[in-house]
Amino acid sequence: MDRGQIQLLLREAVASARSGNRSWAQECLGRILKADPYNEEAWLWMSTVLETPAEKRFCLEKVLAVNPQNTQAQAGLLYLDQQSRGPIKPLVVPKRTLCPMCGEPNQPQAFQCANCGQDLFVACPSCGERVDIDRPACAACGQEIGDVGTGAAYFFHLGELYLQHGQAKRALETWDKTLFLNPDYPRVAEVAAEAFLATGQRDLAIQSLERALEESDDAEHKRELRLKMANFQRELRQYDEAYALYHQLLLEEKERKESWTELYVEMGRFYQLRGNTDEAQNYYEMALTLDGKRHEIRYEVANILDEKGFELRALSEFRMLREVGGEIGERAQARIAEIRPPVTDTFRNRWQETVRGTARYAVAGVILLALATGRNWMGLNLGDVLGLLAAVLGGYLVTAATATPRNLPTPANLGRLGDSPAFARMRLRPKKDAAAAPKSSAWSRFIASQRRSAQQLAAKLRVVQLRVAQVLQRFLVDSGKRIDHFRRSPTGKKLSQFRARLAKTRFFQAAGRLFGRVFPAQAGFLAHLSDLARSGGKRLVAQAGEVQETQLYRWIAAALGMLLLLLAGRLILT
Amino acid sequence: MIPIGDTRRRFGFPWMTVVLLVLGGVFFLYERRAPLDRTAFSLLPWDLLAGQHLVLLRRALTSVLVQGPGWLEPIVNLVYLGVLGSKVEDACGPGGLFSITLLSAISGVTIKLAVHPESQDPVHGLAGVVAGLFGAYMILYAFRPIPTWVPPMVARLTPVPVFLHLLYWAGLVFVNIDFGLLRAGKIRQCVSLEPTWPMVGALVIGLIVGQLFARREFLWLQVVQAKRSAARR
Repeated sequence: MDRGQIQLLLREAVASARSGNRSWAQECLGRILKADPYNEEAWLWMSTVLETPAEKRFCLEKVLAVNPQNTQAQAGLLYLDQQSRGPIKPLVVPKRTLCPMCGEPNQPQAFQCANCGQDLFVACPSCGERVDIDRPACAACGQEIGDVGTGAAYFFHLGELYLQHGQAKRALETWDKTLFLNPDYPRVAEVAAEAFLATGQRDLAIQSLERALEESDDAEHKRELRLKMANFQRELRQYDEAYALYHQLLLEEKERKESWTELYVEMGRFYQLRGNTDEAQNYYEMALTLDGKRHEIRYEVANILDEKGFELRALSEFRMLREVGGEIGERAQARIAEIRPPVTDTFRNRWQETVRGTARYAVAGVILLALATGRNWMGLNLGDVLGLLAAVLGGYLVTAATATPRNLPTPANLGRLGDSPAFARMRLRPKKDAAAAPKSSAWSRFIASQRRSAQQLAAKLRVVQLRVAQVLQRFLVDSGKRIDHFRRSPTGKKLSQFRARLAKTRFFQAAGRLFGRVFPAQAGFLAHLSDLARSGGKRLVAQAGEVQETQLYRWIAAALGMLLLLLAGRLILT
Repeated sequence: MIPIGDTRRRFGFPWMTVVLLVLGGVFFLYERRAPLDRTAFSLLPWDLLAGQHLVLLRRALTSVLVQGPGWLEPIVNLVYLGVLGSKVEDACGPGGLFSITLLSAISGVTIKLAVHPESQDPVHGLAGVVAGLFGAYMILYAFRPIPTWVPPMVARLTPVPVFLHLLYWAGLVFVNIDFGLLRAGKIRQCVSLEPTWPMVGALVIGLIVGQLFARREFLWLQVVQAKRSAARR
């Protein structure tokens, strides 16, 4: 192919490439490059009509191989390199912090506004950490602070948070900014009054509240502010003014024939502060009648009752609060433990309790003996003396069995008695060394044999108890089935409906409560019985296998004690 | 003065006191209508000689409910039974109160018969019971004063020492004034004193059994309060 034909073919390829006919352009350029492999222009145009970057690169490198100075090929390769690295990122303009007071933009990390000197951060109300004003919440503790874009509302809310967390001074400084941004922002005077009171600025507190009263248009809000004023005067010990305002509000409330719980609560607090617990209790109870869920008030009432000595009523209120749970429930539980500390095991089983219990029967025996003999003390016979002894012994056994099982004469307790310091003091002869003493004395062998017998008996009784419990369970289950069958019958349904209606009546509920109060032990027993019936006696069976050795001794001692007491009665009175 | 007592309770409603008051009140009102056959209910001295000890015991119990003639003594006894009984029941429980009542009644009767066996009067009344309750109250509550209505003070109650109440009660129950002799100007002769040994005996028994029958929880609370007071000092 001569030069003229190559030029014609090149012109044809360029025209095809420009018109978008790539395939014909590729055909033409291929022929040219076949004829002239060092045709720089043909390789250049070929790079434009090929699809893949690798083919394009090959063509451009061929151009540079023919002519290393070819700028178009260099630019093409550069472009291909950049394409291979990825898209170029747009340029980021750094954010500027706007000063909330003057609106000037500042560097993002600036601490103060360069224009007005305003701090561009706040202290977190909860943890005290620095929080940029751009952030809506504290990064350290998560405390929500607000959006600085809202302007005055942001500072107002921040001030309230400071006050809630006991930082009254900071709250006041923050509200200054609120007023700077919006002098007519509502409620600032009202909240500032509380902050002034907290910082001890009494006059300012009162003035602030008076201003809030002037600003307020709403009658309901005005009433609340007046109540707040009365509370402030109470806190500031201006009792006469507070009393006058409280009673004025009370009169207005009576005229309107409405009941305002908060007023009663605050009046209760007023009287409690003055030491008049009777009036305080009255007002608190009125508040509780209107709103029974004021647990703090119920707690105060319970404390007042306890102070006055009405322990039972105080305990009843604390028990109700314990059911509520939470922090108030825990405080109530602590108070219950304080008022009614549980009897310790040591006190319960001390020897003085055994002596007291035995002495009851002994004194009763002596008195009955005195009644029987009259003046004829010298006529006391053996039967009378034995009767008295039986009364003492029987009394001891019954007391130890029922109240102080640790003082029962069981082998274990007798063994321990021998080692007690009191017993050691009573010895006539000093105790021999353990090394010199015989390994097992007759007494210790006797004790051991008694224990073995008792354990065997306990095992047998466990089986008996289990069998009895199983029989009872079967009986309860059968009874339960019969009762269910009856309940499903027409008569049973009518009876259930009647019972349900009766249970809803106030009289029935009051009777139940009265029964529970007057006979708490019996009410508990009935509840226990109904639980047992509902569980079908499963609990009975579960408890049946737990006969302990001590239990066995207690039963034996109780039975023996009762027999001895009956014998004593017989001997003394006949 | 009228003892009103302390309505503060620690352990529950004093239903045994209420039962005893109701029984006493019923017997008292019944006797105003138609006097009871005292030989059936009261204790008679010759019962002792009969050797029928069970009958003696029964009579000792029923004699407590028989109030006898007159109005002042039974009413005063019932008032003090209510006031003292509720506090003793709070400390000792219903069973404890019943036992103290029983033992005080029997001891009062026993001492009367022992000191005056020649007496022909039937023995009855609540005097022994009340004396025993006084003793129990004193020992359980460490001689705490009893809130009393003392005229002319209407609005508040005055705490009067329990010893004064004891003397006041004893004066009302055991001192007899013959108004006929008084009107006749025989002042020394108009006043007579009933035997007081039974009351003293029942009082002593009450002092002894009060602590014996006290609830364990009551004694425990006393120990705890003593420890707290000592810690505060």
